[in-house]
Amino acid sequence: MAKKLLLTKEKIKTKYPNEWLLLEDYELDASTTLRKGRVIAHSKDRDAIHRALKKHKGNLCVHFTGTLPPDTGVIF
Amino acid sequence: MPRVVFDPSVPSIVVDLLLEAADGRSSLVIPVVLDTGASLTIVATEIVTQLGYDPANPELDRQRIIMGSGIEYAPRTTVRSATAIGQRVTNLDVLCHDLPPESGVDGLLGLNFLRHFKLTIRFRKGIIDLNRER
Repeated sequence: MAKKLLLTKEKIKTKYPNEWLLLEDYELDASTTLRKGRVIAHSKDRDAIHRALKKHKGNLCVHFTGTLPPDTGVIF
Repeated sequence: MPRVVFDPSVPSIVVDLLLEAADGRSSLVIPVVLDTGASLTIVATEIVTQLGYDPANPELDRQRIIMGSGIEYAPRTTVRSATAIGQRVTNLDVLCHDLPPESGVDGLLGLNFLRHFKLTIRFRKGIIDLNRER
């Protein structure tokens, strides 16, 4: 099976809006920020990505392309 | 100079955290909230497990944590290294605890990581600098 394309973070966000992603072959910049990667799983459900993690080995990246609604506060 | 640019209008600041696996052979990057109000770094239990650590080990210390929702207890383990905003800390203690999926993150980057450095947050410009103190 052909490998998925290596996509920039911006293209990933456009192609998979508001989703949790699992990436391989990722690249980070000098500030440890994702620059590009190959999407190997995507879902609206974070647990699905956590389950997908178990099926893959090596260097991987979990990424979320969504943002919190502007009227939502966050307190942990 | 390690620098992250963020959108000043977002409700919380999210950065990528690179965690080294227990065997040192692989790593995993996860999104975390930069949280200067958190004394310890928190990582989702599933992520810690995937990295080869054992959050279910009964011999691990269980840390008492005071959260917005009340007091909880979470296992504490040590990861080989953690890297964020271009800076690396070895042997970092992390709490294994799950945050709600709606948060859009898999953990918190807390003070036990940040206090190794000089942290500057320019909220109006959306810039974070993290540098070693001289």
